[in-house]
Amino acid sequence: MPRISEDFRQAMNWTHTWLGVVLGIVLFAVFWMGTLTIFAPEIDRWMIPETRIAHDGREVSYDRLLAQLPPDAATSDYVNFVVPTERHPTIGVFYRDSQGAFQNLLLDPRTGAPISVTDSHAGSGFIYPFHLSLTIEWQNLGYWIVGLAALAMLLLLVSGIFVHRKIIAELFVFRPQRKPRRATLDLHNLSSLVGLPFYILMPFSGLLIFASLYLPWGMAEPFGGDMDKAEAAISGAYDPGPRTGRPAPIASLDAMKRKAEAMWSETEGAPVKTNILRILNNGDESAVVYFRNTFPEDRVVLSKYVAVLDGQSGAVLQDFVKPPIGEASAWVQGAHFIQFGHWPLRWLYFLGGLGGCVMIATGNLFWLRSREGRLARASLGYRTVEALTIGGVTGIIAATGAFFVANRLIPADAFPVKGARADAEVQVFWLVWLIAFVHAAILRERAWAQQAWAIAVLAIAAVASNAVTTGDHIGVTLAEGEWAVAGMDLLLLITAGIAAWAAIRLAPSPMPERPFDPMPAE
Amino acid sequence: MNMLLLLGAVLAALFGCALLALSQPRHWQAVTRTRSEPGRTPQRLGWLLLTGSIVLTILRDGASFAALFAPVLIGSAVLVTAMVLTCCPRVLSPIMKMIMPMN
Repeated sequence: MPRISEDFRQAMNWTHTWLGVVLGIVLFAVFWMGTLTIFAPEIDRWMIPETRIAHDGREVSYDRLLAQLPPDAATSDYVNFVVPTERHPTIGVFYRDSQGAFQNLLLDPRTGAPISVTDSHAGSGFIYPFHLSLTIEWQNLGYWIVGLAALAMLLLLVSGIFVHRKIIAELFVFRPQRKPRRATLDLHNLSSLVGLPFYILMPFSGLLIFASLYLPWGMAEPFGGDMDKAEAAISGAYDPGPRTGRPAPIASLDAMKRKAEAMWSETEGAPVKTNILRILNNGDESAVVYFRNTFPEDRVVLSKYVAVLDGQSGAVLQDFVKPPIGEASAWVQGAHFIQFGHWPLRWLYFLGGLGGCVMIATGNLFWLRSREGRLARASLGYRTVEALTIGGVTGIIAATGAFFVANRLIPADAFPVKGARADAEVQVFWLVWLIAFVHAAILRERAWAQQAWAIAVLAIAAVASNAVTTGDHIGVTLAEGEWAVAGMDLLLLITAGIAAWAAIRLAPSPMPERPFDPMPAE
Repeated sequence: MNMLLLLGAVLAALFGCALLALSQPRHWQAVTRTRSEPGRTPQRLGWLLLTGSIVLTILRDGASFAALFAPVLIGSAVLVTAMVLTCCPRVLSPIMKMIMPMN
C-alpha cells in the first residue's frame, strides 16, 4: 500500500482547516435548515394550525373542487392542484390571478372549501428555501453560495480522511474527560466518521439536483442549446401553446385522472397515484390537463410518470416516461428529497443531519481551541471566527426558536398588508440571528452559555405558546394521535433540555483568567 | 414481519458494532479491566453481524432503500457504541463474556 507523504497530508490539512473556517458557518446553516426540512410538512402543521386535519384517504373529486373554487381561481388560465397525503392533509391550489400574479389557496379535503389559514411561510415556505438558497434570490446568488458550500463539503470530507491518521483505531473513541481541545477533536472525528456516507451523499445529490443551474450549458448542449427542450426531455415539461381565444368547458378531471393513473399502473405493474394535477389554458379550447406522479411512497427513485391529456376530448397528448439517464439521477435526487414513506429512515436522516451539525460546529470549535492558548486569541481573525462560530451555531438555533415563537405570538391582524405577517416572522428570525452575532462578538466565550439558555427558553416558550394559542397541548395531541404537532412539541422540549444542560456545562468557571498559558502540544 | 426484520437489522448493527469495538485492545481492556488481548472472534462475529444487518435491510426494503438505510443505521450503531464505551463500558461485559469461550 503506497504511503501518504507528509507534504500531501499537510496540504490536505491546510485545505481542511481553511475551507472549514471560511465556509463552516454557511455549511452549518445549510445543514441545520436541511435537517429541519426533513420534517417541513410537520412544521407546517405546527405553524399553521388550521391545517391540522386528519387525512382519511378518501377520494377527492377535482370536478367538484374546480366548480367550488373562488371565481378568481376558477377562471384562471393556470390552476394547479396538489393532491392531499397523510403528511400534507390539505389540498394545495396554486393559480394565476387576473393580474398575472400567482396565488396560493389551501382547501379542506372534506368540504372543498378554502381554509382561512395563519399567514406564515412556515417550514415549506422559509426553512426549506433557506436550505436551498439561504433565501437570497438576487441573481440566484444564494443557490451559488450553497452550491459552493456543497462542493467545499465534499473537499472537506476527502481532505479530512487524509488528515486523520487513525480512522479505524479511533472509530469508537470519545474522551470527554480529556482536555477540551482533545475532546472536541474526538467528537469531530466521531461525528464525521459515523455519518460519512450520508455526508457525501447529501452535498453530491444537492449539486446534482441543481445541475441545470450550475451547469446549464452542458445540459442544453445536446438540445442545440435550448434549455426548455432539455427540461422537457428530462422532466416531461409540456407547452400547450397560445390560447385560441375560443372559450370551451373542460372535460371531467376525475375521468382523466383515472385514465392517467390506469396507464401508469399498467406500466408499473402496481398502483400509481397522481400527486399533481394542473390545468393549462383553462377555459380555452386549447386547454390541456397535466398529471404528475412526483414522489412515490414506496420507492427512493423520484417518479418517471407524467401524462398530458386534451382538456376537451381527454385524449392522451403526451405519455412521458423518464429516459434511463433521468432514472439514474432520480434515485440520487430521491435520496435527497426524502419524500418516501419510510419513517425509520426519515428519523435516521434527521439524526444524520444533527450529526452533520455537530461535525461542522466541532470543526470550527477545534480551530478556536487550538489557538486559545496563544497570543492569537486577541487577534481580529480569531475574534471574527469566534463570533461567527457562536452566532452561526447557537445563534441560528436560537433564531429558529424565535421564528417559532413569533409564529404563535404575532397577531393575525397585526399587519394590514397581506403577506406582511408571514414576512414579520422571517424578520424576527434574521433579527435574532444578527443580535446573536453581535452578542457573541461582545461577550466572546461567555456568549455560548447565554445563547444556550436563550435556546432553552425559546423552545419552552414555543411549546407553551402553541398550547395557549391553539389549545393543542401535548396531552391533547398525543391522545388524538396528532403526531406532527406532538412530535414537534416533544422535540422542542428535548431541545430545551439539551440546551439547558449545555448552558450549565458551558457556564464560565469562577476561576480568575490567567493572562497567558501556552498549551503543550499533544 | 417488517417490524421483526427492522428489529433484527437494528440489533445486528448494534451488536456488530459493539463486537468490532471489542476487537480493539483498548476497548477490550477497558471492558475486561485486564491486559488481555481480544483475539479474532469479536472481529469476525462483528463483521458477520454487520453483514447480517445489511442483508436484513435488503430483505425488508429492497436494495434501493437499503443502500440508504444500512449506512445510516450502522453509523448510528457506531455512535451508540462509542457513547456506551465513553459512559459505561462495563455494559458491554455480557457480550464479552458470551464470546470469551469462543476465543
